[in-house]
Amino acid sequence: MTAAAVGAAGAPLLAVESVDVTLGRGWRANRVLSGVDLDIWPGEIVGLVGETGSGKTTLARTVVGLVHPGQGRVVFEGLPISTLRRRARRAQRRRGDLQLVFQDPLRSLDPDQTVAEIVGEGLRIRGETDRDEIRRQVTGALDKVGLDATVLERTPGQISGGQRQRVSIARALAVEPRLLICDEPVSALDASSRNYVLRLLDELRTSLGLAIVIISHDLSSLAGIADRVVVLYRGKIIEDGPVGRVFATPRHPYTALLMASAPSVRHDRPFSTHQLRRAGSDPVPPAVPGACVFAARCPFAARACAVQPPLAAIGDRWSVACHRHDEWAALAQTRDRQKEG
Amino acid sequence: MAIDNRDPLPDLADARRREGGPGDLLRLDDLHVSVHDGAATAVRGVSLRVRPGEIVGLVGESGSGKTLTCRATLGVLPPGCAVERGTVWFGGVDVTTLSRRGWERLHGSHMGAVFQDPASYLNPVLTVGYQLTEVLRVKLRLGRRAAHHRALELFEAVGLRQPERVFHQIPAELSGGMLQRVMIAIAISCDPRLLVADEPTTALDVTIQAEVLELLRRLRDERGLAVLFVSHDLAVITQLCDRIVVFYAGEIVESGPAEEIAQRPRHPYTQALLRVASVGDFRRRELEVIAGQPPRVGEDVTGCRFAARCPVAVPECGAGPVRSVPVGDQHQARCVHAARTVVTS
Repeated sequence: MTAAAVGAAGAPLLAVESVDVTLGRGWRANRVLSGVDLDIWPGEIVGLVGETGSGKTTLARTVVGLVHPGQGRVVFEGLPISTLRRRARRAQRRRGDLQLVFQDPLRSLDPDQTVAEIVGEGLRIRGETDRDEIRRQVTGALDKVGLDATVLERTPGQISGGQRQRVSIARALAVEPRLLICDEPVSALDASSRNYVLRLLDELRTSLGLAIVIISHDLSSLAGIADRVVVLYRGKIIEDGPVGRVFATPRHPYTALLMASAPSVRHDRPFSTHQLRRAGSDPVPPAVPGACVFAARCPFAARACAVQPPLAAIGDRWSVACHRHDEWAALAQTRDRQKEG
Repeated sequence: MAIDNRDPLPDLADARRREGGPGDLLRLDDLHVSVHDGAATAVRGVSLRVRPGEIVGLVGESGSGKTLTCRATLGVLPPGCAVERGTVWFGGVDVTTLSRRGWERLHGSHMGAVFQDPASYLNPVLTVGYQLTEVLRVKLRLGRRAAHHRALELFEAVGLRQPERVFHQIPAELSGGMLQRVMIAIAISCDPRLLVADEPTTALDVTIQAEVLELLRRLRDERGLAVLFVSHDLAVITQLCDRIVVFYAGEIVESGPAEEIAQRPRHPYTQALLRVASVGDFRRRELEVIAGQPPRVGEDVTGCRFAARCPVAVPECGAGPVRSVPVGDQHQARCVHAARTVVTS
């Protein structure tokens, strides 16, 4: 099922509308997200990539309501959830339509609770009191992630890393969400369990019709399952498009740098990292407030880059925030593949 | 504290001369490491060699014994773990019998080490410059001025852009990639012959990871540094290393030149690892998994330890111990199929 087929059907499941987030106050204030617009359609898998500190996790936390946006709003199924207060907000949260699978299950799961308690907690919060019913749904959720009843009475410390990650996902699935956000679900796992978890997410999307956002800093693992990829850099979305086309011809130099940096068993890359990194001989980029967020690291920065480019559509459901999105690739080809230019 | 700086390896040069040509810098012979106070054996008979200026990569799943092998080499096994059998030759000396003092003379000056989480190996309240000069002053007996000067050179050598500024910063003011560079600067400060790098890039962003890998390669080229590099990511290993050693459940199942292993893997486990690794072609593909679990630490398995998960297992696999056999130039595999030439991939 492609996003286009679903997208044409109606409104997005989730709409993040020009959200600004500032964490900290006074001199500590740090703008983590600025002007982020993002639509998630039912049944699609969106990969959210970016480096440490780019705001991926903050965006996820804003969507589920753990962080309040300074400006803009988050709309879920037509309901502006970021502006809800008190009772309405509580009711919305208890329904559990939106679930976040936290980073690092070892730290985000209560070490003193058994798997059965962890997975059933959301159901109890939602108001389910019948123990047998809870037990039935807990085993159902564990079954969906491929775990059997033997783990029920174990604590997170007694199971393996891959199983822990699956318990984390089962906890989120137990309340039957419409949108699942997974924060770095596979970064702590080795290759085989990583593929297992990603494949599981893909199957859940098909069988439950979930929309899934996968946050990752590893582009190539997303290539296997995502429909769309969204690249964040310093709190701004710089590229957003269908995964196949973005990875075939990235239109933002940062996306291309991310791809060139990913370790690979093969050696056939359109660009080398040296062609995409700034070298000492490159012209000094404009360093003024409001300049393009990537300008300081961009070897292709020109005078126009003194102003942050808006995220503009360059094709069907494909947008990029770069003044030189159709020029830089030719420039990169002229640079030396081996040495910093 | 006074540290004895006498060279513990006086016969290093002699040893090399005796063997004629570049000998092995590090050689592990039939290393066994026991865990849980001897209750189980986690590393079972590992033998490998690292020549000067060579980058050797150890790869395997978590719990396969690659980190324990590294730590045994460095003489820093965690409590409860011990070298049960076998020897670790470093520069012609068996270091498994070294005293604490002997290790102190070896660490830093002959062997450097970098680990996964640089922040936890640095003192959070001292400037990184102080932490680097401390090593130089203690190990190399440099004066204050000379140490400062040398520290700036080292920071520059590891690619830190503003060495003077970084010198006066504390770890919390630096990013993960910069901290890892500081750790590398400290590790190579006394010009060691061997750098042991245990998952040094796992916690870093891909763009930074690529830069750190380039740095290690450059240090090898410029200083002739040998590197023992550990990672669970075969893609990282094939990109960086000259030779690859594949670990499975405490044993080496395959070893050989990196290119050879990437192109013509002969052990079914290596073949499986290559299929699940991030091949980096960015195309939509079937995500493969290796079914089953490795045997538990200490579990006794007759024959091949991978047989239970192996797609091409035959009754012969469980019959008795499987030996490593040469399958190419410096290429060895521990598989009953490798002896014959039929290996389905």
